[in-house]
Amino acid sequence: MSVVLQGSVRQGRLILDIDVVVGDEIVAISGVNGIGKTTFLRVLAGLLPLNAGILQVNGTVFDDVDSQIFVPAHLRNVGMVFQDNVLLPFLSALDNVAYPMMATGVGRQQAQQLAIDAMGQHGIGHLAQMKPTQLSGGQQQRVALVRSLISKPQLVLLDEPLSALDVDARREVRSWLRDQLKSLPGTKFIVTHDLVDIAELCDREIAFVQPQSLSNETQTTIVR
Amino acid sequence: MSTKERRVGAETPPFVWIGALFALLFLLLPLVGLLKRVAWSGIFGSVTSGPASEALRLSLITSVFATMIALVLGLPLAWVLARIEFRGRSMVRALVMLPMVLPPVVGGVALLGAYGKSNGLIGGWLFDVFGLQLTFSPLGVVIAEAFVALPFLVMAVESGLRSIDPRFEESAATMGLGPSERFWKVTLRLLAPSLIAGVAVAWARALGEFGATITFAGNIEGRTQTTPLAVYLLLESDPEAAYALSFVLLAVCVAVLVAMRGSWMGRRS
Repeated sequence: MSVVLQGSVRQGRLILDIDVVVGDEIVAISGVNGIGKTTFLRVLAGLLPLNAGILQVNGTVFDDVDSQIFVPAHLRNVGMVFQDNVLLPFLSALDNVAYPMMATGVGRQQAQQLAIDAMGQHGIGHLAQMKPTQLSGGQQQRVALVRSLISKPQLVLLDEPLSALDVDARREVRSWLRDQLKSLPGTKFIVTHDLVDIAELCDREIAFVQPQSLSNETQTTIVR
Repeated sequence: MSTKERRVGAETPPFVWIGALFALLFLLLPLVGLLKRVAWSGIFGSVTSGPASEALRLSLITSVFATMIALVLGLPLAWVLARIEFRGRSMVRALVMLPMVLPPVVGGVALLGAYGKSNGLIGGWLFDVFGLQLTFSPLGVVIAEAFVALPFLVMAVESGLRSIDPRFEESAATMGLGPSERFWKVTLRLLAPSLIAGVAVAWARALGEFGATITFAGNIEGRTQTTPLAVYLLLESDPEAAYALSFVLLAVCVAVLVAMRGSWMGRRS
């Protein structure tokens, strides 16, 4: 079980130059704002194709520019939490959690039952029938987290998953998240600025760094 | 309007108030005049008999078909304009919007140039191969109405598509929904308010079409004489029916405006 990503991607002014090999572990992604952490997650998720190089997850080639291979996001079985916990606004919290399972062929009733169980386990069962707009930022974040993990993804991508929580909730959700992530095989990436998150959740840290910019037009971020 | 919001240096001068008042009167007075002339007691009889009822029936059918054409063709076009970057996109958009500003009569003449049976670009071919004659036929009415209504739908739907946060669709992709599933279950769902507004305004526009219809499809009672054409003719022979029909069109337009309040003309414009 591993992620091999060797290549580069350009988005706007930013060029990400990446060379990482990660095993079956929980990896913290850190670095200043605008350095390309979210872009990195988008490459792994299949929302952004590489401009050069190769991405391999658990032995499957997801992206290979030279051989023109690109596996789109919906076929990658990833669990992703976006920075602003994008829940589908027209679905209840419960249906949001059930949706990824339904997309992979689980029947509606079974998916809803599993979603109810998962939400209950996480202590947010009472939010099941609420619409995303009725939830606070922290509650949305919890729902988004449960949703991202429920279909047992082979790759977990969390973009600042605890940022909207207050201190107490953060501690509680962090320990729940640690149990969840430890019990799940595969590689997990967590973008976070929080040193406690890095210390308590993650096995290792990848720091994004920006060398002295060589040109005004582009900014290169090196990931090793 | 409230005086609480008035700031020093941005006070409203008196002549602006007066101008605004007159503008409002200018718009409302004809409507009051129309309502005053409607013979309320006989209105039901006026619109359910003779050429008036024929015209209403024809208008209803043709405008619905025209709206369906506008929807089926307009949604893909709006998608391309909103989401695909290509050279000359702004020029294509300007061309699409052209029928909105073009005098409808010119639109009708242009339609003759394209679909006219004897000397239109493809009119002769349509007739020879499919036996289709668009000019002076109900189908021609539908084509004329769709031609004028389509840009309204494209405009509403394009702005709707632009206002959708792409991350909803990306998030759906990471949840395992393929491209067509995302279109039906996520994009279309988020687009629904704009789509409804676009359909409503396109339908209202098709219902009121006059110039292109009379030029391209003619004014044959029971075949191509739609409600606006009937209103124009009845004004001479049966003014009571003309006013009654006018009121029906007015009521429909008010209903459409109320239904789409805020979704198209308000917040997003």
